[in-house]
Parts: sequence; C-alpha cells; structure tokens
Amino acid sequence: MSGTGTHQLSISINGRHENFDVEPRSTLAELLREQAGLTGTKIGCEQGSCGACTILFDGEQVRSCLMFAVQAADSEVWTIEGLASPPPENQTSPTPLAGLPELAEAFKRNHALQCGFCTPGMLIAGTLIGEACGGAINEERVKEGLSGNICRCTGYQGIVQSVVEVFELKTSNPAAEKPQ
Amino acid sequence: MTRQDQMGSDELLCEHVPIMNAVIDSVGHPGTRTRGTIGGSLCHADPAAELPALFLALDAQLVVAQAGGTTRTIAIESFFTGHFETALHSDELLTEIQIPITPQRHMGFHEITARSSDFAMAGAIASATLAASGTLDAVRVVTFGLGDRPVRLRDVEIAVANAQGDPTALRSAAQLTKDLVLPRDEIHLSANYRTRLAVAVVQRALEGALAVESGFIR
Repeated sequence: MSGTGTHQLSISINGRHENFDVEPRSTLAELLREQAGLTGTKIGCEQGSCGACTILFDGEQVRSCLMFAVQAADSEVWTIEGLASPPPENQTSPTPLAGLPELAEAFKRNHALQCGFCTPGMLIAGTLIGEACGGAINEERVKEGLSGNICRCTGYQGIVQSVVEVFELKTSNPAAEKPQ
Repeated sequence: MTRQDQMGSDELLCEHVPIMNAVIDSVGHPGTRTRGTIGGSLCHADPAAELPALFLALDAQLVVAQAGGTTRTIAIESFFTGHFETALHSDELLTEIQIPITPQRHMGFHEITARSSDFAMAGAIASATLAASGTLDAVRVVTFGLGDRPVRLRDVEIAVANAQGDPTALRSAAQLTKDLVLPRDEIHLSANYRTRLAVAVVQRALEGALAVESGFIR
C-alpha cells in the first residue's frame, strides 16, 4: 500500500458492521463524522485536551481525535447516536452504558448544557464515572472523572449534579423510578 | 506498549511501586489514560509529567532499539535532556523499561495543580528503602514541573538519609529544595511562589514515604 493510497477496513459502529475506505492520515473522529455521517461526535481541540470527541472504543472511553481511523480496524465503536437512542430492531448485541439515556434526561432537568458541543463527551465520560463509582459516588469523584472534558457554557455545576443524582439513585435503589 | 491505565491496575507493579495508583490517577484524564502509554510519556518528556519523575526516582534503565536491529541501554538520569527533549536519536525506539526490585521500598508522591488533573505547578516523588539496621538507603527525591526536566535533589537525599528519622532534620532537608530548583516566572505564578510550592511538595512526598507505613519518623 503506497503512502497516498487508501486502506479498506471494517468497524462495528453502534452495533452494525460497516466497511470504509480511509486515507492513512484520517483520524477516527474524521471517519465517524465525514464517512459514517455520525456528527454527534464533536471535534474541538483535535489534540486530546477537550474531550468533545469521546467515544466508546472496545468498551473504553477514547478520544477519537487521538486515533487514526486505521487503528480502529475490526474494533467495536459506540458513538453518542447509538448510546443515546433506542436500539434498532436489527441490533444483535445490547447497547452498552445503559445509564446514559437517563443521564441525558438529568442534563435537561439540571440545565447541564447550553450550546451542547461538549454534551456527547460529557454523557459518555459521565456515565462511565457514575458506573465505576458504584455506591461510593460523590461530587469529588465525579469532578475528577470529568476533569478531562471541557465545557465553556455551564460552569459544570449542572453536569456534576446530574451524574451524582442519577447514579446515587441507581445505587441506593436500582428499581427506583427516575426523579421528577 | 503498555497503556497508562493498565499500569495503574497491575498488581505486581503496585506491590513494588506503592504509589503507582496515585501517580497514574494524576496522569492526564480517564479518557487519555486508555490510549496513552508509559513509554510515550517518557519519550514525550513533558517537564510537568509524573511518569518521567517516577521512573527517575526508581533508577530505571531504558532499553532502546536501533534501526540496524541493535539495542542500547540508557540510564534514565541521562535520558531527559531538556524541554520535551531526550537522548533518543531519530532512528531509535524505546522498547523496554527496567526497574530494580527493592524490598522495603517506601514512596511518597505529592503534586499541586490549579485544577483537578491539570498540569503540576510543582510536584515531587520520594523513595527510600529501610535497611535492617533501621537506617535509610537509596533515598531518591525528584521534583517535576519546576524546570525543563525532572531532577533529583541530591543534597536533599543526603540530608534525609542523615536525618535518622528526626522530624526537625527532615523538615530542614526539605528546606534545602529552595536552593536546588530554579523555576521561571509564568503568567499565573511567580518563580518565588513556585519555589515555596517546591519545598511544600518535597516535604509532603517525604512525609508520605517515611511517616505512615514505615514508622521511620520518630
């Protein structure tokens, strides 16, 4: 393969296998937005500082601007579109981060977004830290878990409050209805 | 390539490097530690980074592969040569990091940041082993975020070894830091303030290493 050629690769995105032809220089974020049409993944700083392009890559949170698309060959990627939406009928594996849609509802209640640019990354990182904390969730741990995601609108209070609220409730009473 | 978050959860490594978890929690963010590697941190040589300082305090040896298939080993003390600069040549690749296994190693780590997980304004790592005779061996005191690379503070190390667990002598040892670091003025903090931070982080790293588990401080 010459340096200017393209690479063919297959990635499972949001539970569906898709094939792509990518230039070696393309980042995974570019592939997701420009080739897969999934523009929920935002490109902010393009150097791993802001967290807006956070996705779930083989079960871990990753900044899709820090990976070349070719590095994602044969991997499993979930973006905000797949994580926040009800699964389509033909989806074979369950959607990970089951608490994410509920966190999105809490964001609405708590004014945890204004322009929305950081929100996809916040929801993914927020759900991961919420699930990781289990019963030991508190504001400090959530702030630490979200420290790599930058929001320039809200001042973070509503975001942190949402994560604490949703995952505190899940732990104390897993069957609880979502709060008003 | 070992990812940073793998290192924080490796039992063997955490057993021999007691501050491993705390250090990894301070490296970047959860979303960068899944991809960032240990070797990458060392070769990037950010002066404010934790891992170069940690491996300096551990007397690491770095094995480097060369283009022709040969290798060479670089002692970490001569690896960092300046701001984001290392002794690596352009056709060399860091492939292995070796650390000596020392029983009874006690370590402490402290850094001061403006925000959670931000770059360190001043940071220190201390390491020492407790000999059977009750004296301290292999004292290492390393600061980072205060100059163009992580540095060992040899005068502090000697003073700590000589302190014999006397808390006053240990505090005096930490005070020597202010003559050994040369931070620059930056937009958010003066060199003078950073020097005071340096003394504080060294003292806290020493307390972390010597006070709690080892009972070394009388």
